[in-house]
Amino acid sequence: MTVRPVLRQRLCNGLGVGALLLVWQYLSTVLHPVILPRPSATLGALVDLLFSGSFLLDVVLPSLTRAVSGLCLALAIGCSAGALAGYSQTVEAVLAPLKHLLLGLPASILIVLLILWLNGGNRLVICAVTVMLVPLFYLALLDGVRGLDRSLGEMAQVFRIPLWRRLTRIYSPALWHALRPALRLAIATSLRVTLLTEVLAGSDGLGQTVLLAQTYLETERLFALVLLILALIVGIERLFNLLLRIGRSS
Amino acid sequence: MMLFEAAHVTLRFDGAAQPVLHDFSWSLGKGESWWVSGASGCGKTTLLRLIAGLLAPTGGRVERHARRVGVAFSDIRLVPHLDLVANLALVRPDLRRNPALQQRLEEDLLFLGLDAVRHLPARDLSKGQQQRAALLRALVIVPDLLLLDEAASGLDDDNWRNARELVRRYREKDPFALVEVSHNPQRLLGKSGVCNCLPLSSAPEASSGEHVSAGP
Repeated sequence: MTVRPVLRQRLCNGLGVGALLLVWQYLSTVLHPVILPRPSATLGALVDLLFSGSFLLDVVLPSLTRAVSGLCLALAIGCSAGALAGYSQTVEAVLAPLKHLLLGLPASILIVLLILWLNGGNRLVICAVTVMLVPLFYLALLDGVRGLDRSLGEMAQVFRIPLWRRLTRIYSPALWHALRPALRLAIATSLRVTLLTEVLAGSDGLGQTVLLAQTYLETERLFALVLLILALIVGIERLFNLLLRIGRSS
Repeated sequence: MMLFEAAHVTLRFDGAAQPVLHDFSWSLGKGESWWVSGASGCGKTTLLRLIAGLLAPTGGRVERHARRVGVAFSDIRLVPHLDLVANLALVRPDLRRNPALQQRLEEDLLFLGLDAVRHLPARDLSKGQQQRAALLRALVIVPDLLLLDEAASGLDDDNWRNARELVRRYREKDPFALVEVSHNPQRLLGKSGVCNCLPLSSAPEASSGEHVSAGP
């Protein structure tokens, strides 16, 4: 992409944001502030939140830690199971009912069940994120392994190339190609599931803060929290893309 | 010393009416040269895969004693995203650390006309360049058994002569056994000195080592 199309794209993005703000501003003058606060009031509430002592440390950080922990756990479990199922149709058949169960159950039902079994806390949120994301990584790795070039596997066997070198030098690009879209989707999903679980379970963190703002009709604070959550998801995705670029250039 | 021995081997693929190899007995000694000939589909590549350990017989007995087997596959099988030197280093990791090996590699790349494309990903090489690179990959491991499956089919006369000369040089230094599949006896890469002929037939009763004869 050359400089001009990038500039044009940024300009169009800016226009889109401006249009949304204008619609928001107009609607906020028509509707009651409890239903829809003004953008300026929301911005003020956001600044108050960010500079209110330990908000980032006590509210944002625990939620982020849970989301990242669940993501990492799901990555490890899903990739291992997906790789095994990719190599063995027996393993795939054994895991098929569990896969259908996890994919078929709505997130809210699954979380309610987990609340019943795990009774709140860090363990519940991390477990919910893990359970929701495992199928995503499982399917990605399953497809990735199935798509590997078997003839290169035979070549590696004949030349007695060790497993670690096969993984890193021969298979990693194909596996990464299969895993990358899943990882991108999982980043945003991990934060969504974390918040949903915190809201449903009443666990401390960003989700509970959202719930309290809604309960006490602090709509400006509620909208400020929504903006903050969006910024977090975009920020983490940008960080992921940056790490990818660094990985490619090194 | 025998590097490979097959005794009354039968090899039948799942669902196939006829076995590819039937009551096949044959042995390969250290330093020997063999040309496997026969019509398409008679089992030449299957035999090479059996020797390489990529197939197991459905009947009979095989013994494999080669420690390092170099194979130049008919469908080449370089890792497409790795460059030529990385493909070689994949099978010979000490290639980048050993100055003597590096020196030899430089000479070989120059000799095979691959010097200018050494840093190109394998997928960007022509078929002839890929075939020469695959041959070099099979040689750099210093094999005690080299299996060539139509390894020269995409080479022009000059490149074929250079490839054959390279095989001869490696063999002179370290005399390995060689089994080569080719439709064209005039274009064998291992055609130097005594070469035995192993004719295979698509008729199962004829796919036997009993039909081995001294060749060109």
